[in-house]
Amino acid sequence: MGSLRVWPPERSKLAALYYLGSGPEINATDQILYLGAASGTTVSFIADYAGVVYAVEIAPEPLVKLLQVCCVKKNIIPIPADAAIPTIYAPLVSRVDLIYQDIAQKEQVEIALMNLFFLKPGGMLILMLKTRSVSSQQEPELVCCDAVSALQNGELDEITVTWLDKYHRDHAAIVCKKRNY
Amino acid sequence: MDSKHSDGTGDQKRTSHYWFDECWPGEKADSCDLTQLYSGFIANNAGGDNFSILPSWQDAVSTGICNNKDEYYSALREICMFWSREKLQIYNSSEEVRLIKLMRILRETDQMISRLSEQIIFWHSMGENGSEPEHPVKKGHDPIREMASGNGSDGITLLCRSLVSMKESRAGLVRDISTRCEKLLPNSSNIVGPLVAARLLVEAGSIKDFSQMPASKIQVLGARNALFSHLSSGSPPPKHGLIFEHKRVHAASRRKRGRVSRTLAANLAIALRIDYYRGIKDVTFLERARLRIEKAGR
Repeated sequence: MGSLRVWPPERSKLAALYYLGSGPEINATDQILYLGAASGTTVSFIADYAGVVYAVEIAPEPLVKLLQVCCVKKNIIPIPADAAIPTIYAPLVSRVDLIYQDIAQKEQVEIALMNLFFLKPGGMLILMLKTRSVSSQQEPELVCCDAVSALQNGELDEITVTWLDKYHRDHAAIVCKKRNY
Repeated sequence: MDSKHSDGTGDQKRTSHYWFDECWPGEKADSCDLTQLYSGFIANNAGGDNFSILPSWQDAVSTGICNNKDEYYSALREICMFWSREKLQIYNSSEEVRLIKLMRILRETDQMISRLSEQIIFWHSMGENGSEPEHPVKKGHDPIREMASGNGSDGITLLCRSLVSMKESRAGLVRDISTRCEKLLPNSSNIVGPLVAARLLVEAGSIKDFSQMPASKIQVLGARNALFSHLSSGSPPPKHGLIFEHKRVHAASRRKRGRVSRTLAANLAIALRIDYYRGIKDVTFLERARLRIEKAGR
């Protein structure tokens, strides 16, 4: 990995979100919980901006690649656990400033809500909603509406939805903020 | 965020909740100890209601276990890398995973051989000058083998030789897969043959999932498109999937195929359960299953 890299929006959904102009700021001291790290492409870019990234990934094959990325980027902490069972990795993860989730599961929204306790009040959640994983027959807009109302019930505010159709079909980026109590 | 989380660090009870109280990498030189300690820590804490107490580097510094933030994170990273490597090692050493990987290699090999053969045979049938087909493709003889045995040294001849040796390697791979599968799934390998059993296993994903499948699903495993077109547009349902490759199914007359594959799948479902829960060959069951399958074909 050289000193400069291109972050293509076609490959990374987070890059697409920034290209479309609605991505939140990431500060150099931020701690980030990344759910569904896969082979570590997006993780490596986030790690360039953030302080510490906890990369959660359960599947063994992408994990091999993720570990290779971890050897290069010293601020990625790989967590080989299921994001749907946060109790397993809860003892290791500190309170984070941002949660980024990119998981192709039917229970995406539920997983996001389960992991919310890691987020500090006022922290951001970026949920890459794969509408086709939730339901292959329902309209993507309907799936998104359901997701937004579920997030609203789960102590989240300032929800903005950005459709990434230009780069990724049937994907919505939901950016929201945890309420301050 | 710094000031928010340092509250209450002096609490005596809380200290044992942190991972760094039990397994700090610097103190334990042996990596095995570390992971064992860590798994013990997980077992003690997982499922508990310790959610409100998340660790933070400030806590670690204030308990005196490390000096600064960087030290804390590098220790945490080290532990997580161990944990990941250990998980991968367990995954990679599983016989089941190895068999599935070998099956993928076999599938790729098959595809490569057939694609390459197709192109070469087409080229061969074009003849030298492209005017008149010199060697019309005859049934029952293998132009690849024939071209490989020639004494030319052009690219195509060399490629044909590679293809022939590739086919030999493939046979070796199949032997390897068969012995592995016979060890892993002794009963089902006996019923449908090791290669078909391995293909079914790949389609099912894992032995656990496979052994818990109903026979009706095993029957149409590998006939995904036919099954879904049946469900969505009402075309006739598939009678068999991969188990069609079993000789009793494809040798049966069209009318009886459905019955044979149904019986075969039912017996296979039992065999898989024996394989998964007992793991040894059950000769009396196999004999009875064979009789049942034969009876269905008559």
